[in-house]
Amino acid sequence: MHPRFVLQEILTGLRRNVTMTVAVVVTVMISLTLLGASMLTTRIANRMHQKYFNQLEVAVYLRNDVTQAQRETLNQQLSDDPRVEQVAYVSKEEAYEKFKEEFIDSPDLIQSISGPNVLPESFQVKLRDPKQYEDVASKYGQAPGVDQVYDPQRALQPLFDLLDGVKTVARIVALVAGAAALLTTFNTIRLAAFSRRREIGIMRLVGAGNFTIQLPFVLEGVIAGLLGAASAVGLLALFKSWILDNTLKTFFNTGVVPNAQWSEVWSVAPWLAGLGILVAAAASYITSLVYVRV
Amino acid sequence: MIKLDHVSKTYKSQARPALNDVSVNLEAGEFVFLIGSSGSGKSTFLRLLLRAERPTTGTVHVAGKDLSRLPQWKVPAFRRQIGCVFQDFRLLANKTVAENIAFALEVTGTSRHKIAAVVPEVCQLVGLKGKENRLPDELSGGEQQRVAIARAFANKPILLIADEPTGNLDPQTSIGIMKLLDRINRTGTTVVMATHDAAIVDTMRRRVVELDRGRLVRDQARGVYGYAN
Repeated sequence: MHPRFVLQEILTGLRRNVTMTVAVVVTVMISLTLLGASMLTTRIANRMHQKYFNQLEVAVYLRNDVTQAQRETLNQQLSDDPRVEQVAYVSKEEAYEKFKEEFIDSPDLIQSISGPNVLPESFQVKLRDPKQYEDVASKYGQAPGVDQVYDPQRALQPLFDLLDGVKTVARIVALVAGAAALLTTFNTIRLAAFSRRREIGIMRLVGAGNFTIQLPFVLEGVIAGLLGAASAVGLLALFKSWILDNTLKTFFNTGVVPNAQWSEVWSVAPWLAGLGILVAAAASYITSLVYVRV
Repeated sequence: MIKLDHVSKTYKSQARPALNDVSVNLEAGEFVFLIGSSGSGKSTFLRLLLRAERPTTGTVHVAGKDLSRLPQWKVPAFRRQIGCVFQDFRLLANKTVAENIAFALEVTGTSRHKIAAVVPEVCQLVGLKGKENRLPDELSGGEQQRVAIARAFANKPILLIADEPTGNLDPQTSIGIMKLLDRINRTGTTVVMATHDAAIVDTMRRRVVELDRGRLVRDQARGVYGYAN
């Protein structure tokens, strides 16, 4: 078949069926936007994980009035502890340097700290098995000169739980919207087939192949899926530039949770486009099978 | 060309068979009238030839093919050898005469080049020269049927099936359509035409196959319509 002929058939089909096509595009868009949001959240969570847990160090913070003897005893105990792989002493000055380095993106935060005296000195302890944190914490938490034992993994758990929650909710809504998109696609193709029933009847009569009969439907599905995916990417980009980069600017500037990056938004796009096209085309194909039976 | 061998067809929800033990042999190049009252099985007969239905028992051969053994995926290729005309014309209202004819060629994979050559040729043959760009609504019933015949003939079929092609037309127009079908028959195309039109059958004096309540009751060369059994 000539491409121009196929194109003409598709355009006629889309024009006849414009309201339903819009419905498909919108439901596909909602579903893919939420799926994209959940994918972005996963990427952010992964980056956070890397940022905080590459070190995987437990910090044993010392009191301000710690004595040199206490410091040495602790260092000895930690070094001899079989659960500990490595111990490093971090003085107040070193802590301040490290802090400045870590939050270089957040000058506000660095400004809020007057100088090295504010941050406590500590032992950075690397455990052989991070799960033994509880034992280590209870043993050294009450030791003389120790202020508190801090496990970054534990402290950040609520944040990760929050991200997990966002991800789960986004996925559930994406799934529900995806189901709605599927049903809308089925219905749209049914209507399209109904409005093309004379053409289909003639095609079957004159001996057009199934491929020829189904192609316009599948391509209509592909176009609707592609439009839906494109709007979803647009919506995500809008969300990033409006909400994340504007409304939540101060939150991300604290540096605790990293912002989504543009490269991440774009990296999600091909997945959404592929999925949108694939699902819409498959749904159209399956529905159209009913109408090509001879 | 067409061979039905002890063919019976019973539709699912009906007790009485639509066709009951029908055996008939139609030769290539013949012009055959299929007559009988409504419900006699004419439409089922034609649908079996198109492989739109399959016989419950017996075998149907068309153009050397055993249709009950023809796999589903070969049906489209089989149908390209057959042209079809109906009482209700079945034209696409939003396409012009030329586009309606071209449509049937497009969807069966004919090249643009060939379509451009064939469409004017068949328009000329059916007497619609100069009306290629009209829409079906702008044509008379007879002219619309001519478009349908042109579309059916564009693929150069070896068999033309006509289901009451003059059913919606006045007698004068019907004669014109019959002349056209006769001309097509003389090009070598086998024509099987179901009809109620006694005048036409009596005038043409061709082979008549009569069905009555699913049974073949008459098969007569150069027959007439009103021949009582």
